[in-house]
Amino acid sequence: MVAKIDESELFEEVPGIFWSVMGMVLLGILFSSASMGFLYNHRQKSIYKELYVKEKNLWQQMEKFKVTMDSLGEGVIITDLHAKIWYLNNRAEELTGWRYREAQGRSLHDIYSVRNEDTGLEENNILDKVIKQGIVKELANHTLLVKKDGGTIPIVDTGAPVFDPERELIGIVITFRDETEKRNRQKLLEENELQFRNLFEFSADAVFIADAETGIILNANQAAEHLLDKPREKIIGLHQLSLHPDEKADYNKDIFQKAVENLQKRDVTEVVENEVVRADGALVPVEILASRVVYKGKKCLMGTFRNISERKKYESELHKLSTAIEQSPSSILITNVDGEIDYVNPAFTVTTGYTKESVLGKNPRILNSGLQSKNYYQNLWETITSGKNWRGEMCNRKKSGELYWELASISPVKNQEGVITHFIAVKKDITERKLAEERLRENEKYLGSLIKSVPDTIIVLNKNGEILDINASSLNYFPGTIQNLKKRLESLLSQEINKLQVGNSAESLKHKQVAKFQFELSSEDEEIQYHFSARAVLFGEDKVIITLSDITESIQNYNRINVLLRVEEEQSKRLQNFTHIVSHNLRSHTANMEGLFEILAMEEPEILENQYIKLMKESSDKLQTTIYHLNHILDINTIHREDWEKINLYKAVDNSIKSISNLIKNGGLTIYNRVPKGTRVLVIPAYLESIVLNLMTNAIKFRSDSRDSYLKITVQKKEGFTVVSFEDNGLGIDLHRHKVKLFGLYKTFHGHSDSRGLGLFMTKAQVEAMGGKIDVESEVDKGTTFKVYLRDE
Amino acid sequence: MNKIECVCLIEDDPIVVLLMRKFLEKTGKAGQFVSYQNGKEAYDNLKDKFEKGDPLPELIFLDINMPVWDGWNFLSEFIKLPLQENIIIYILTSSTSPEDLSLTKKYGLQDRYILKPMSFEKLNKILNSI
Repeated sequence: MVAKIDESELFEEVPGIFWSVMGMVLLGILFSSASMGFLYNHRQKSIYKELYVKEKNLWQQMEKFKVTMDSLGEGVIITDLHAKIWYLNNRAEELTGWRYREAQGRSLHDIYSVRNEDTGLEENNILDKVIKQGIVKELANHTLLVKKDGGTIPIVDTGAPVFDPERELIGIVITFRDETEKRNRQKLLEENELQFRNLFEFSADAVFIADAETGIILNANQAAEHLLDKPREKIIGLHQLSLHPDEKADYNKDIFQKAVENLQKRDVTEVVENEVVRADGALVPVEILASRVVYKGKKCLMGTFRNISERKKYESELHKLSTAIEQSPSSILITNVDGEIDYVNPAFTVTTGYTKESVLGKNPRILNSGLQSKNYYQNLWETITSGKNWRGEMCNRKKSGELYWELASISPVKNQEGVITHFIAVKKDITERKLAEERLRENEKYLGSLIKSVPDTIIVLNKNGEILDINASSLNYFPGTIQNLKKRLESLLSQEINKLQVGNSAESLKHKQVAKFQFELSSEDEEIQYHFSARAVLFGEDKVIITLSDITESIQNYNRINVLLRVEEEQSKRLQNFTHIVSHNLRSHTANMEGLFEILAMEEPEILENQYIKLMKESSDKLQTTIYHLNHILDINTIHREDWEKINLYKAVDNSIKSISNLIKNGGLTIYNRVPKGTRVLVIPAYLESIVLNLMTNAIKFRSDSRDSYLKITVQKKEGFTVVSFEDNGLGIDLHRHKVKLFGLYKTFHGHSDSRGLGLFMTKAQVEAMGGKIDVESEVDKGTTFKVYLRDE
Repeated sequence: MNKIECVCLIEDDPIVVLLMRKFLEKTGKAGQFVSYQNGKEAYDNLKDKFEKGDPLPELIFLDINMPVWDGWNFLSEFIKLPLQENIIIYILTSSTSPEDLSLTKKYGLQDRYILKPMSFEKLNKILNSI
């Protein structure tokens, strides 16, 4: 194309030189022929030869001219001043459709008829124009040449005057060329441009043209105005970065730069998603595609921005919906109209054990447990194919073979034409509920038989005290009709219920706790008085369940025991008084005797030397000791709470050892205190001390002389007690003979001079007073172990 | 040390009375010694003395178990008298019954509770402490 343009340009410059040469040539031709006639006349004889030479030259020149003319790409027509055709070249013959021979001598107007393309008027004044103006270029714009056959072709023509050697105007030469192709090209270009402009301007997508080098926006279309909600004047001149949010400027700068680079190799970039800032500051999501254009001579990027807000909205809605389906705890199954599975959600896999891949394309029949009849499925299928929803419970089989229950809702999906395309089944696993129902039924049965079997009377009343239900065991107590019993119970229990509702017990009933009360009911013949203990429980909103236990016998026993207890207490009190009186009186008398002996010793000491008096004094002393002990025993019965104390057992034992260290040393006994140092016990300290001392002195008294004696004191925990063991290797006790009497009052087992038999009795009494007990293990001549059980708390 | 003018013993047991008299004599710290056989007799006599303005004993040993009025009957009436003098009362008894012990506490006499028999040594200590 470029080459062609160059050619035409060349031709535009050629005519000046060419025509001057041509003019000169023509003038030469004319001049020669004129002079030839003249020479012929004057020098006939000698000239023939010269003539021949000259003619030959002329012919040669003519040939040269013709070849030159015919080789031109343009039509050339030469006329005289009267517009008579004098010459046509080959191209002119082709373009006009006239042969040179036909045209010769005819009027230019006949051969070269041109019209204005726009106006359609003839433009046949070229001769006048050249004569008046000299050389005329582009005689008329949009000129059409009318051919001999009437057809037209667009041309561009030039006219120039022809002079003789005397500078006399003798004719004109017209050159013209075919413009068809150029015109067509022009037209196409114009059409393309219009098309492009329309495409640009009326594109549904926003289009921006930005300078590739500076990034400045040079143009934008209507859709761009709409997208940004800004008039074009305000868009043009902006930097492309300002279309996007500021905070992403670096990123966008990069994207733009990359697009510029990429577009050196490719026509368009890949689609990228981005956001643009609207005039009101709102962000609009867009999809951008950039291409390379030249605009106003500058390399530019043309960005097509598609608003994808709607799409995004749909996408997000679709995403929400699909997420809901994907994450639904219900199994969701979609089939096509042929019943082939198109989709299942993860819950389906969880429930059935079948993976999505393994069921796609299959029929949901794979879940069939065989527990539903054919009719059942037929009804289902008929319902959904008729366009209705189906809902029902069914038992299906998992992949593992396990059965499960589900509540299914199956709906047909119709397209816009109302034709069913798919079926959607939403299914909820109700196996738990089914099992619970089963259990409930069993429980009801179980409760029913339980109620029948209990000896207690169970009565269900409403809040007005009317009996709704009563179990049959009641009849055992009351001969007579159940109606009679009901009436009597109703009047009785409604009073009780009223009491419960108004009293504090109403609160307890509301809180579903048990309210207890007792009442009496006499037999119909009024001979027997029955006692009942009742427990009332609120059941549901308006029912009260009362269980009645016949406690007639218990009440009678209780009354009997109460009488016995009173008698016992009375006796015990009397006994105590008795012991106090006895001990008081005895003490008075022995005290008197002691006093008398004292006075006697002061006033008449020699009398005390008397053997009988001595014995009397001895008896009196012993009596004194006995009474002292008796009083001790009495004291144990009067424990006061404040005497209890939590003490360190190790220290207590240690202190006791120290307090009788001389005794221990003289007795030759080794005592091992193996009580863990942190052991703490709740005791009456005085008693504990007495117990420990007593058992230690026992071990000293009853040591064996035949070996090194020891006493080990150890502790172990047992059944909520701290058990303190006192293990010696002394004389031992024959338990077969003495066990029963061991802890009795005034019993001795050793015939030992020092044993008085009170110690173990006291120890046992003290241990028991502290809520513990004492045990003994012994073997004669091996040793004895006393185990003292002390309460932990 | 001042001699105590008058010591009184309210006691139904003549042996106790005898012993007290003897011990008092031995100590030589008391001037006069009077004894009454029961609470009623003691109250009547002491009240009579009080009303006449006669001197009352500075120290009284009181038995609990006595006929007619026991020691507690005496005490409850005796303390109602608007006495000016400070009379020291000791309970002298062979009773250890809880009732008696608690009554002793009630009258604030738990530190002046002597369990029989009264010995010379005990008496000496008491007289010295006054």
